[in-house]
Amino acid sequence: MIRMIRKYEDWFGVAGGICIAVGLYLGLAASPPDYYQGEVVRIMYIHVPFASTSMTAYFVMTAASLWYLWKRNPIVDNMAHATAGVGVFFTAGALFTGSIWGKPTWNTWWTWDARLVSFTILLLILIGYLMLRTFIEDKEREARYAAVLAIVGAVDLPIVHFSVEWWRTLHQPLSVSPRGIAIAGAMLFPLILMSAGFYLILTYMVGVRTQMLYLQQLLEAKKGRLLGEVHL
Amino acid sequence: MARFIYERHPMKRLYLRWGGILAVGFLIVILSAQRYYRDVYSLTPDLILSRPPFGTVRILGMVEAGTLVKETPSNQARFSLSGNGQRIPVLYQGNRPDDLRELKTLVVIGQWDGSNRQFLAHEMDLIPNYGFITTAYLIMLPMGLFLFMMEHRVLLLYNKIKESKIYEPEVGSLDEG
Repeated sequence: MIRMIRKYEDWFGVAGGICIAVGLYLGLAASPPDYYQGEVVRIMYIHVPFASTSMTAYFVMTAASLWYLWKRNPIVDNMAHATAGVGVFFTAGALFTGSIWGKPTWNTWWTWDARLVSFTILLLILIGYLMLRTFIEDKEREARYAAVLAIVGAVDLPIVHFSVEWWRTLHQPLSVSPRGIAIAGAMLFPLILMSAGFYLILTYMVGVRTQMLYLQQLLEAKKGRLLGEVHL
Repeated sequence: MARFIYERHPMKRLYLRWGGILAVGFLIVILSAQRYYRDVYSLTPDLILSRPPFGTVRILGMVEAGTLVKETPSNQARFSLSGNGQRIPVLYQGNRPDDLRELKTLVVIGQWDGSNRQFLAHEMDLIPNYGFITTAYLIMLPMGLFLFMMEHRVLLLYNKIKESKIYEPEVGSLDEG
């Protein structure tokens, strides 16, 4: 699996980089301002990709955790661990950019809104997952407990997604949904490009971090630090 | 050449790639700044009075309380726009004059009439709030740094494993990738 990641990761990195570069140019320099929000709508091109990729990252982490509990493949556990590390960054990025967007549009940095609260809980679950992994000495037990936590925490995913439909919130509903597309074409194209770029970069980052965790464990095992409990 | 660098000097390849990424990022910053100064950058009333501009300009200011007079049939409005301790009289003739409200901060677009010392505006716009936009996009910097550090660490670990005596080729060796 590590060989496969090494073989294909660069393609994801390059494609993601190109999509983000073009998306940034279109979003910051070429797309029109919004009629109601004006220029500040440009934050959408970074906030929405951050939010959607962070939810995807958690979904991937849950799937990898289920896979680990089933097959006990340690590299899959490395992937779940890597996804959590990258996911924390993307989730914090979504909250940070959302807060900045909220100030000029809602006149507040933060509000106890269902979407914001459920998203913050997602961040706290990810942080808790990473903390759990640092507290347990036994690698196999660490992986098992972390996988269970990830699966239990996945309950928050549908709450985040449907929060804008289930409750009356300040956060706007989905602009792109099965009901239709409520966004102008000139704004939709850079948004799609940035989102595609973020998904590709997320894949690339998870690949790089999975290798990093695998190599760290390999090095430790080779040095004999984990004698008798090598988890490779 | 690229293959040689890739195989012999993976660190050089990493630095070259990130140099390219920085160059592209710098180009995007320049293009965005150009667009900002062309379409968004706004003057303030004190700048208009101290250095009267030529041509069409944008002025950011607040509609002074008690100065707004709307002339409905002619779609005109008169008011004072204040900012940085100065105020200028504005004669607005354009669409949506009803959107004008006292104490509202906005951008008016038009030309300075030096002979009558008033600003002739034909369009108005929302406050650009570019500080918020710039701050939001600055998160790309830690994101890039995070990725760079991870790639750097992976290369270091590969080198460490290869160079140390503890390295033994295995089935599905890392070298084969």
